[in-house]
Amino acid sequence: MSYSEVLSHPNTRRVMMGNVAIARGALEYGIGFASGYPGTPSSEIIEALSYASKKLGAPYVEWSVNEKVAFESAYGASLTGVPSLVSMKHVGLNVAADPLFSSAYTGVRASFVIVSADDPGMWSSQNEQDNRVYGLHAYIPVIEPAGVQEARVATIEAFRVSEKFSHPVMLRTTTRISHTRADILVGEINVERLKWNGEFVKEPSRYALVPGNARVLREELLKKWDSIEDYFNSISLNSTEGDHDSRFAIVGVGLGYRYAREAVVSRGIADRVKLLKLSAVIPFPRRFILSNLDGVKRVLVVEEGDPVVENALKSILAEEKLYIDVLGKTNGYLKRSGELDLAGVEDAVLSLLSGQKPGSMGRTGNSRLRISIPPRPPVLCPGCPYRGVFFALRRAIRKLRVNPVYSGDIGCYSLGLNPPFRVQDLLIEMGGSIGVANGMAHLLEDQIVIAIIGDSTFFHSGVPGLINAVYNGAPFLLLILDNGTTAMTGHQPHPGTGITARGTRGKAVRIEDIVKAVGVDYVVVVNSFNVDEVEDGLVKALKYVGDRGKPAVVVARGSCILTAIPEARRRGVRYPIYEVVYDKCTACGVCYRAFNCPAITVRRDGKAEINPVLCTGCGVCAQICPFDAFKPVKKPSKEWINLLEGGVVGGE
Amino acid sequence: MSWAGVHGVLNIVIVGVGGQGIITAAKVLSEAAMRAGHRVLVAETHGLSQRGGSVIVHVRLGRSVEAPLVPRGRADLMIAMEVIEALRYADYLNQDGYIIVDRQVIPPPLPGIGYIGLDEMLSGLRSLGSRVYDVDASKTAIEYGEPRAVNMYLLGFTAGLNGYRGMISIDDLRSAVSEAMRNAEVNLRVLERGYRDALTLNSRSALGRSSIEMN
Ligand SMILES: Cc1ncc(C[n+]2csc(CCOP(=O)(O)OP(=O)(O)O)c2C)c(N)n1
Ligand code: SF4
Repeated sequence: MSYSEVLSHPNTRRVMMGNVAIARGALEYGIGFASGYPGTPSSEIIEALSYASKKLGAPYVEWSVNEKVAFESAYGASLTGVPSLVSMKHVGLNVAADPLFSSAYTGVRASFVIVSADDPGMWSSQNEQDNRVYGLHAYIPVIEPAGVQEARVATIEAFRVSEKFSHPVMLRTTTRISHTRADILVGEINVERLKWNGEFVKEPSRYALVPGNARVLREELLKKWDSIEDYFNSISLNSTEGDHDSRFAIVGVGLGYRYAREAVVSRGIADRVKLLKLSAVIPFPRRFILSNLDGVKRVLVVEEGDPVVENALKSILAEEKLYIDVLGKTNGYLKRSGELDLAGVEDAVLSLLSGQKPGSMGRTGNSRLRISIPPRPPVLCPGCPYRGVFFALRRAIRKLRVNPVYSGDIGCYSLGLNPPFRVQDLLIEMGGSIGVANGMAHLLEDQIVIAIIGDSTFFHSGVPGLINAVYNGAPFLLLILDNGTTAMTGHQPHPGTGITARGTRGKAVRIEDIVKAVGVDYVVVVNSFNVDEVEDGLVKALKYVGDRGKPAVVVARGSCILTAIPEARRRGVRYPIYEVVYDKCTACGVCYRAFNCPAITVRRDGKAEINPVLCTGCGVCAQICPFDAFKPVKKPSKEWINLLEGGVVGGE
Repeated sequence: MSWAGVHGVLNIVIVGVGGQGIITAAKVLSEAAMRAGHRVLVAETHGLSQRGGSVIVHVRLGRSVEAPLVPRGRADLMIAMEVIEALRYADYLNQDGYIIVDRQVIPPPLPGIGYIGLDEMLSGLRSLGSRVYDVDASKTAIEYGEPRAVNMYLLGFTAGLNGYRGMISIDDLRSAVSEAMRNAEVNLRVLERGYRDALTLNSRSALGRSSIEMN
């Protein structure tokens, strides 16, 4: 994808996504280093920085193997005196939490900004955690842009705060900031300020966190925390508007400010309330808030995520013995889960004036509609390598008559959860498939555990679990799905591809080499697009696990079709489309039920039909049809087969 | 008067199936809006929903837009790349809102879902009382040799109907497509075709067809 807008001319307006505006802000400030691990809604920050890096020759940008390493790398860069950024989705910060806490104790040398992209509403996540709480917990200041409109400026400000206090700063964005496009006015990028050489000046009493040092640093940290709070009391990111003598106030936090501002205008009460805009949020700027609540009777807090500011405000008011009603998410004025929405905030601002709670907060359904609308959950793409693998897996299980437990993981293959495959009985977090299998495998009597993990996820956090399985002799089958990319989050490269974020070719780390090196005795690699081969590999491996009571690994390799097709176009390789031979089709339904390719639909007579626009020419339908009723319009070329079998080397 | 009229805001939702080019449509629309001198917000969802799931993108134009999402019941316009998805999100429309929808059903690939008829879905959509323009966008796009240009046809058609209420012109769209798209030439042709089809439809209706929305 092109991110040319990240390098748009100074003092012009360009439409860009919040994540690109964040990248732009970092470039304008002048960073020398950026790292991250993909995760929706954060990924475009590193992608846009990579684009800039390719064009400008700086800053250094990488996709790291996971968030912990990404964090540590960027922290390390900062210790060498080079301004740095690390970016991840909210749950990524759980993986990086260990260094996060320590970084507050040591502080940093050059400015260091941690971008946490939270996902309220769980558009692409397993939970809705609010990472501002990490700020409180770990003594990391938190800045939240007031919508995409402020993403660039808030990023620059975050770097400045970090520079001023030699302390890490978190920039907390959310889906509707990161993935909203707006026309953004940009400033200047000075290319010379992106080129840095580092030097580490030793100071073990600060950087070596042994207890004796940490105790001293703890005291220093608490003092620093107070001075940052003081600074946030007068920082320009926090401001007020509206009727300063009003008895009704709204605290609009980050994006919440935008909703509040539009709501008071649309409800015609903009000149009757006082609106506090809060973007430098943690440490909570107590004096700023208190001085603006003078004479206020009721205050509404509008924030995306948990009631973090709301609760802080309540405890401060209690401490000050001030009797001001605080309305928000803790008492039913705004809903507690999901994202903010304008209608909900409008109701809440009216409540602020009337004192009456809004009525039903549920979504209104479409009562006028008389026909039922079928659901449309996301599915594996037509031509996805996983479809054939899951089909083969189900066949292998039927053949062996074993009772499987599918320990799943996070990636496109999570979609195997749904019928007809149902091969994800549980999935909790990245790398969890192997960890959970370790425990279960020692205890199950009549069931056999099959852990299923993707290539990027295996590198991210799967390897330690596999070492554990070898060490402790946990008998389970590990199926590693190697599609040559981090597909779910938008096809970023990973160590298995040997391609870096900047598009340079490095050394590819081979999955099967790791598996062998950690001591797994049974490893096979199969071609995902060959159903019989996959089935055979799985049958043998499952037998091995049963007979020997040891872990076995099957690596199913085959390109993600969404990388294979663009690569084919680039190389001028044509891919065939398949069609139904109607004399042979018996309307048995295997293809559209058990194989369930979206390119295959049912005709009125029950026979299959191929949608030529959706067909990607993977050819697996021709293998699974019992009646040989699919044939390619033209014989697939060798080059195409090669691309499918793993000839695409990751990346865009 | 509609809420949009009061605040000079145009609320648009673009809906369809993940992978159909919905985000591209929104991108072109936002570029065009900026050329026309408007403030613009486009809220997209990436990640999981892009794998053939149901997708809605919110586009808001006008000086006083602050918040990224179109509230339910307040969209002035829906551009739908598929009929089931148009139905799913129909409650986003306000009372004067209209729907420009491709005459196409993409059945959700759920095992056992069975046959879903286009006519039944379309009449369901019409029964909602919204003004519905069902058009042959995908058919036309295939004719032009670029099946993914459905979005262009719909954007052009909407311009021909003055669906952007004077805030975005066909010229703004033309220059946005030329600059923002890789395959600009064929996309421009499909955009143009959609625009012309709408103009023809409008002039025919002016010549005596009782109601174009019943088309
Ligand atoms: C800790 C953490 N970081 C990032 C993510 C976002 N994420 C979801 S799936 C995924 C990786 C998927 O890659 P892979 O395992 O190769 O599977 P694929 O999508 O290619 O099938 C990532 C990074 C996450 N859910 N949790
Ligand atoms: S993006 Fe790739 S891995 Fe994901 S479902 Fe599609 S083909 Fe499969």
